[in-house]
Amino acid sequence: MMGEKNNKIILEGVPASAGRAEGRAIVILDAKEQDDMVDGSILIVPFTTPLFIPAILKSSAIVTDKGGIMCHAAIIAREFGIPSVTGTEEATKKIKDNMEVIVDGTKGYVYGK
Amino acid sequence: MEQKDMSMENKTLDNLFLSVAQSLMGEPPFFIWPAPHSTPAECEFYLGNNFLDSLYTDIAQLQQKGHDLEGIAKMLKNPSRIAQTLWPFGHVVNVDEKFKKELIELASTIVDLLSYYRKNPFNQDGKNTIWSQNEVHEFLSNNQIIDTADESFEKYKLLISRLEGTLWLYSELLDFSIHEVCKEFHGPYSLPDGRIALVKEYYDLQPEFWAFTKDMPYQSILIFEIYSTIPDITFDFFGRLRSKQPTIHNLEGFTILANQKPTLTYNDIKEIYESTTEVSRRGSEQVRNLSRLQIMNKFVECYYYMLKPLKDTLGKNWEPPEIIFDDIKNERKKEIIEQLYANFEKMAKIPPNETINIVSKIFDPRYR
Repeated sequence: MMGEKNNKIILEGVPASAGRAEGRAIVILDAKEQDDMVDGSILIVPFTTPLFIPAILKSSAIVTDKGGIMCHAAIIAREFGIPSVTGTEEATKKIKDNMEVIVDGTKGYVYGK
Repeated sequence: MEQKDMSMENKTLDNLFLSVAQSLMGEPPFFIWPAPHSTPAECEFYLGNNFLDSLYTDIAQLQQKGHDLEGIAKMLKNPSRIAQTLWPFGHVVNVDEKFKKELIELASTIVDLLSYYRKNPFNQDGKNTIWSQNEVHEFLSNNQIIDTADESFEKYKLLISRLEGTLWLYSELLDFSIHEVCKEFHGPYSLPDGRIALVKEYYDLQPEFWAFTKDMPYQSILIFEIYSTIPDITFDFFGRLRSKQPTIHNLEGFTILANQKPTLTYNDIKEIYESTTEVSRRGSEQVRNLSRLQIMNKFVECYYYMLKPLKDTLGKNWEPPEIIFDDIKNERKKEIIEQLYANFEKMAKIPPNETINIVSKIFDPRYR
């Protein structure tokens, strides 16, 4: 499916926190593996907990496999004022490390560039 | 504890447990910290009976010593902290008639404690109103507001959003799923100029059961926020602010008190943000290295630390009894917990209005 400016929609989920961000995706499956996260990256995780604090602090958007409008990632993203799409089911499988993506937290889409 | 006519209390308790159940509708517990190590419900099954018995006993003993309920409510500091004591009601086991009677009395007393703070003890109007209009006006009169007239306001707004996100994460790191123990978001309040205010208070930010908090320079932080309009927000029974959109984008004015002192320069606020970020980051790294057992034990400590003000007044030790840690270590409630998870899966398939009734009865000791 094509979306924003002919970028392909690669994931659809819950529009958990409004806004738009684009950047490099960093996929983190285990909280012990956060060293690759750099400022402005898009955080891709199964779900967030306080163990992901270092990565969350650097992220410009959060995309999760699990959760809905009231999940941890959604609440955190809204507190920070950054976009988030949650409950995609397969973000950590479909998005690869360093993939350039666009997160639309208003519509609930993640686009591949 | 005061003996009440239960026929008069039944409607109150109906409202209480309905409010609890309504607040629980939403996210399943499998992804709530301390997940993935454990779930809050699992830990609460281990501490539930003893915690509630301890709370009941402490309140009764304080009353025997001449403390009234208003004084006890003030010891517990804030209504959302008091509301957190309802969680274990859904996780008690082997309830005999004596314990059932105590739980019913305790539930009724908790409502009384909440009523000292909240106009509507159950937040059924979707607001968490704690300050009177006079208190709001007095706060405004005594504190300087930074607003959109300041040419750096957009820069402040970005910093405030970072600070609030970080404080939220920090509070959850400290207090797991019951992080309203260390924070009270309240409002919305009407202002004289027609705008609205929200207050975000954080307190007890240096609890002694976490070693890393000794590096946190702030015991309390208060952020007073002003808006012309804010996205649809509600507060649930537990004091949790629910919104579907970020509110920070609509911010028009604010002031911050750190350790009860005004903090208004950009660099002062940045210092709060950087300190909180650094302590949170280090704390998260330390917690990441804890075992499942250690994390579950910390969750138990977090619950009992809530009662420390009562215990201090009574000259008692706040720490949880060793039997709870021993039960967790030896998985003595494993079968109950496996049944719990099976029930969660079943309830996820039931329509919400039916689930609310079921959950309400699970928490209500009258149905034990």
